[in-house]
Amino acid sequence: MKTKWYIIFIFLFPALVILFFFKVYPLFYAAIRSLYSYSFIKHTLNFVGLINYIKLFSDPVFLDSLKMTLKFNLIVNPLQVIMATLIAVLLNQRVKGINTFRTLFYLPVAISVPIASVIWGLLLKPNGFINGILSLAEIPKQLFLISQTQALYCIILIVSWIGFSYWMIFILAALQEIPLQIYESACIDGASPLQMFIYVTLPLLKKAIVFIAVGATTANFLMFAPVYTLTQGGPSRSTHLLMYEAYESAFSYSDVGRSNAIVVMLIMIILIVVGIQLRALRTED
Amino acid sequence: MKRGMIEIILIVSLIMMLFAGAVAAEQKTTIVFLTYQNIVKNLEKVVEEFESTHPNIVVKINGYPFEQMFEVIETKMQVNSDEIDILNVDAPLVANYSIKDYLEPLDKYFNSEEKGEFVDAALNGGSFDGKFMAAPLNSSSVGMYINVDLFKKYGVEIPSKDPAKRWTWKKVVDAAQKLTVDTNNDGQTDIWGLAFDQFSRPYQMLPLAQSLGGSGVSPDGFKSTGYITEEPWIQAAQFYQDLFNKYKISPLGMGPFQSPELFKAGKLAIILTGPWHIGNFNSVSNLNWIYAPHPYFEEGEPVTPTGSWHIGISKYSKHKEAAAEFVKFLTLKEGNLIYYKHDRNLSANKHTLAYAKQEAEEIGDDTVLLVLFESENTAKIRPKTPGYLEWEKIITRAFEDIRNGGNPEDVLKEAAQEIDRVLEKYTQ
Repeated sequence: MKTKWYIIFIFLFPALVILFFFKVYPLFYAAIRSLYSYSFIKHTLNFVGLINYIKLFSDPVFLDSLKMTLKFNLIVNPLQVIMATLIAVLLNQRVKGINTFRTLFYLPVAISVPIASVIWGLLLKPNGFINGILSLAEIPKQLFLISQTQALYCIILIVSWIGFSYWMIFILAALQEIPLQIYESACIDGASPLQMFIYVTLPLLKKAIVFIAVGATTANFLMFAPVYTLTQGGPSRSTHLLMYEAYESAFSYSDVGRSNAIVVMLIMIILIVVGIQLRALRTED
Repeated sequence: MKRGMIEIILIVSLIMMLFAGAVAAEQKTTIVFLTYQNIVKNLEKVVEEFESTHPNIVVKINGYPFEQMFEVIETKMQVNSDEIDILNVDAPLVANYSIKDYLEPLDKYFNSEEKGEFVDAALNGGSFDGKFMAAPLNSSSVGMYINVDLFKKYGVEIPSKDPAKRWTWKKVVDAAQKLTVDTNNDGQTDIWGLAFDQFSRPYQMLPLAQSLGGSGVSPDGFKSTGYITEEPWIQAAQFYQDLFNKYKISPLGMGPFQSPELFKAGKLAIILTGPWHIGNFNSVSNLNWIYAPHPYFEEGEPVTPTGSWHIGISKYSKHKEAAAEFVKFLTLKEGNLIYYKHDRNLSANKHTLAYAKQEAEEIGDDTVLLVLFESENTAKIRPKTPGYLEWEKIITRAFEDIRNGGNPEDVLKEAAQEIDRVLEKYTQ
């Protein structure tokens, strides 16, 4: 029986309304507001066209943040996808007590990002728990979040700790969808476990991997909480991601036009990256 | 009586009670005061007294962590929210909030006699463009709180309370080095020699540069290049970095407002902070402390921070009259005195100041007398710029980077460029 179009619409309507008010409308508002600038002398909102965008490209703070955001995403997205896939494959094995391991690996998702950031912040303090452990092993004290060379990697670690466990669930679900008979046939054909993973598992996981690659990219380009909670973009701008710069521009520097221009740029970057990912990981279906 | 009848009577009574409550609530005006958590308790004492004499006004205090308060103000005021009636205004932000149109001018609520109650500098600080924008609540000062027991334990000379015998920074560093101790030889410092209350924040960083003759912005308030990029700032910033990395007498990784807890726990020998911690430190029974003058560079002059909180009325408040009643109560005679008795910070009100001085002389409270001396003799205000909020944020980050090992000259140069860029909008 064919479902009537208005039945589909009725069920989708609440979600569409929420999507419109909380995603589409703010995005259009940001795009329009990015074309305006506020005059603190005349107290008027003036149309400035693309000036806010043009200024960004000669602004060392924005360019540094852009570079940092790309570097962060180049590392964190593949890392999360690879970790999620590998751990999911391990957790898909039929061994005793596997459910306990699945629960343990899923636990970080139950902690909100800001709370996880605070906990990691305490652990990574110069006089914190991790340095205490390192000193027992006679390894010199590390500065972690206050080191210009280590801070970004600490943020990547924290974000991945939460991220991979979340994405892992999707891969695990996809793994359980793969019929056992395929592995049995591969086994009869003499395939090794590694060959089975590369030629059977990975191709059948492609859809799930595309989904988590797109999801992780979007979430990580818009990453804000750990930077805000732990480093405020420092030290020496080494963790100054674009989302934080957009926030700072609006709420610390009262430059809403510039902030919206940054957000629009960020959305455009995400669309381009996601487009490339979808093209590269295209599935025949 | 039948059961149904009893139920009807109960329901009717309940409805009547609800209506009575609604009518009573309607007659009262509720005003919301946005402030920071640390002073909520002191404000509650004033609110208690105010509500007893103003039965038709209810004051609701919303306290936020110090740093977040500024962000909440920005977020709410940028959308013209009427949720705030009264807000805390840091002295250098009066111009910033006035330019952004956040504040209702107070001239119609305060007559000239009432304005005359404020010390001139504070009244001036609360005014912008010839209008009285925010009523001064208090001013501030900073000195060294000394843990006497730690000094005695490690055989270090205790600083004098006499401003004429004020210690130089070199002497402070020498003492702090002897007082920074790893008590159990585990490679981790257990007792620190020196800490600032507000690590890296301009309120406490400025006196370092000002003591060497530096200033933070150009006279028009729109440029920092050529000011914070000059020798006094570079020298001050280098000294700040050395405290953590060369002398290792101050803890890395500790944020602002955390070190008072270290001092209270007896794990810090010297803390640079203000009189607002007198009550806090007195609450620890076995903490034996004295208050000594703020140090200075031998080649410079003694400078102490000053300026503190003003109270403003939101431009978007729907209860401006009621808000003004409370602001006047808090900053003028009796309310201000109640506040002072709990806060012990330097008041901006002449009557309260006179009371504080008289009381201190009578009981020989040399801490309050030193605070009064510093405010009259060594206090220097923070830069006057409409973009103080931005300036403060960028300078804080720069000093944090310097603290964590950044090259002072390079960091300050970058900070100055950023300040110049973000302040440009106030000229257009």
